Amino acid sequence: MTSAIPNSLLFAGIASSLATVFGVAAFAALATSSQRIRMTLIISAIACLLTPAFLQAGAWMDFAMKVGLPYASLPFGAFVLSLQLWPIVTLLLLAMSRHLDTSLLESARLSLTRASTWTRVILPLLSPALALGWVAAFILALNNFIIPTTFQTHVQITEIYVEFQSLYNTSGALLQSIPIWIVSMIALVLAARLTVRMRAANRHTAADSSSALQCTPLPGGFAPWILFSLVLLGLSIVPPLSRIITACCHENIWTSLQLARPQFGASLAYAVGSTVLATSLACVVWIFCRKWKLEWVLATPFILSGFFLGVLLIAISQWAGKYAWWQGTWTLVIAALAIRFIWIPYKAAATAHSRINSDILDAAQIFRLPRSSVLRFIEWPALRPSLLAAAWVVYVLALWDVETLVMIYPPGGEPVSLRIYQLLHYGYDAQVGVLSLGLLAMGIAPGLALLFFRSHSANSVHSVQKLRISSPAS
Amino acid sequence: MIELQNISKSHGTTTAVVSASLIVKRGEAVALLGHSGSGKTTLLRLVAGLDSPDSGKVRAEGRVGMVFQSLALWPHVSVRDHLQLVLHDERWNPSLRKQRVDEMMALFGISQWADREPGMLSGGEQQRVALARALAPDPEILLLDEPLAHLDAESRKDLRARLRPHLENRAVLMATHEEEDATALTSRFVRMKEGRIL
Repeated sequence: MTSAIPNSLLFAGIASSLATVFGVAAFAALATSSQRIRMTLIISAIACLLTPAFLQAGAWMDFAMKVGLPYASLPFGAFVLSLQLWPIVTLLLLAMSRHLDTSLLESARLSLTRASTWTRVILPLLSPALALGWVAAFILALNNFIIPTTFQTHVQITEIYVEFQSLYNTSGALLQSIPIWIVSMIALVLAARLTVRMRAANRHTAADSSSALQCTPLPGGFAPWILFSLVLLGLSIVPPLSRIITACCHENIWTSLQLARPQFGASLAYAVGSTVLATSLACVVWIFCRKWKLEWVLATPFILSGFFLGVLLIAISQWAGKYAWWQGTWTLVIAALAIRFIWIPYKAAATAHSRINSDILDAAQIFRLPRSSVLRFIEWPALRPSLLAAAWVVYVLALWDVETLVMIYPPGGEPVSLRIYQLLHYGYDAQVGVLSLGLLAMGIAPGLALLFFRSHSANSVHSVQKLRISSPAS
Repeated sequence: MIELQNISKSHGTTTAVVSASLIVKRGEAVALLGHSGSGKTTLLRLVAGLDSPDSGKVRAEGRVGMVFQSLALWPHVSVRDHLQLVLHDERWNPSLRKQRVDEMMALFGISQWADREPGMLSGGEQQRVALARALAPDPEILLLDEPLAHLDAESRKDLRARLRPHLENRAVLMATHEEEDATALTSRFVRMKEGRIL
């Protein structure tokens, strides 16, 4: 069993290093492109991050089989995973690059070569974000369940899964997962320190340095970098999408979707239930316990593998014995997903709150506004858009989730994601494509509705403002 | 009454206020004059209790009303609700509260925007709302940080005239770099430079 641990570290190391290299290249192209191109690329990168891992894995497995590549190998699995992780590095670098000292960039541009400007000035200034990106990608790769199990990679998590499936030994599985937990925790502590360093660096310069960075020429010119980024985006998004499209051309969509109605019902119930529970709990925790610095505690179930969370919940249920009324019910599934994703709405609330002008809160303090009024009139309106967006992300991730549910879903309550994951192993290509299409539509629909309502309300405000401007001043 | 005894305050390595002492009695209006960065806003925040001094003692007796330099209007709250929200203590029963809100809106000429949120008002209109909010609860201490900064000359003159009678019977501390405002609204000037009261 222990022989799988070096493989796990190697797998995570290769995946995170590749993701870092890809992420840096994409960042260079994004940072120096025009505002419109940048926004398009950022949205594509986020879409890439939200692509279901099972879809990515299935598409690349098909491709490897067709061209005769040895898909059941550690480097290939790590490469496929890196295609999903690189946006983390890019987005972190972009976030930190907005706070660089503009004068440093300008002086470097005047006196250094293009390559030196990037390697000696910009990347060293961004080193906390770069390191944080690598660490975050490493933790997520170390705890990834779907890619190693699909590509039959001999890593610790697949070993535990296989043994747990045959022996159902919860304490054994938890014991074997300890090395992964320890390494993840050490990496999390490192990530926490890097976050502090990144925030401290951001505090020095409040001004937005995006435009100064945009004018910094890239070594070899802009074209090769943007071309590389487009190829990277293509590799990350096109295979899963083309798989869906091809499959839908060969399959009766409606019949397949109707046959999977119970699975879609289960997916919807789990996703909606866990979204409501995670968002409400996050609000309660944020309101009453925000001073306790719980962020890293809440982040742990999100970052560690959902498979371990599932095993842990089974262990708790076994320990509770006859009192474990929740075992084998939808409640356990919804609770597990809520625990796993609670960090997302909590982080959204904390970030939105940190953006409220401190004078506004000071004014509430001066006028001794009751806590309920501050919450209702000042904090909630500022937090609402971020919380809605976070709730949508939780909903999507809960729809996509396989690893948390694989051991705990109740009899007759199999969700679509798990059905797809299981079909992948038996090569039902067309059916996988149709089910994935249905799941994607289910995930995207509330996001589109949110965007529609947001733009609709923005238009209403705009028209009221226009009315105000056109009315005579008093 | 406001009493500051030898107070000092630093923000990291920057010293904002150094050994400042000052007394402002009830019925007295004092202007804090000085350039940007001279420590005026920090001194007001110390009096308001928003920051604590590193050393020295701050005594502020009574309720505090404040106009912030940034105005600090609550973005999702209407003009009427800005005034209603600050009248929350037991002195204000519903009918008194309504009367006070109407009175303050009329005084500062903002009644016609009662249902609008700050984002739908001009800078000068927002300034009036901030002044009305500060005066509405009838505070014993009034702290004004550049209270007329966002206004044109005519509105400035108009607001000075409206504000002046309402500064009586309070301890007023006003930070400004406009000597004209200081002369019109206060009876005593205190100059600040590099965190020190001269």
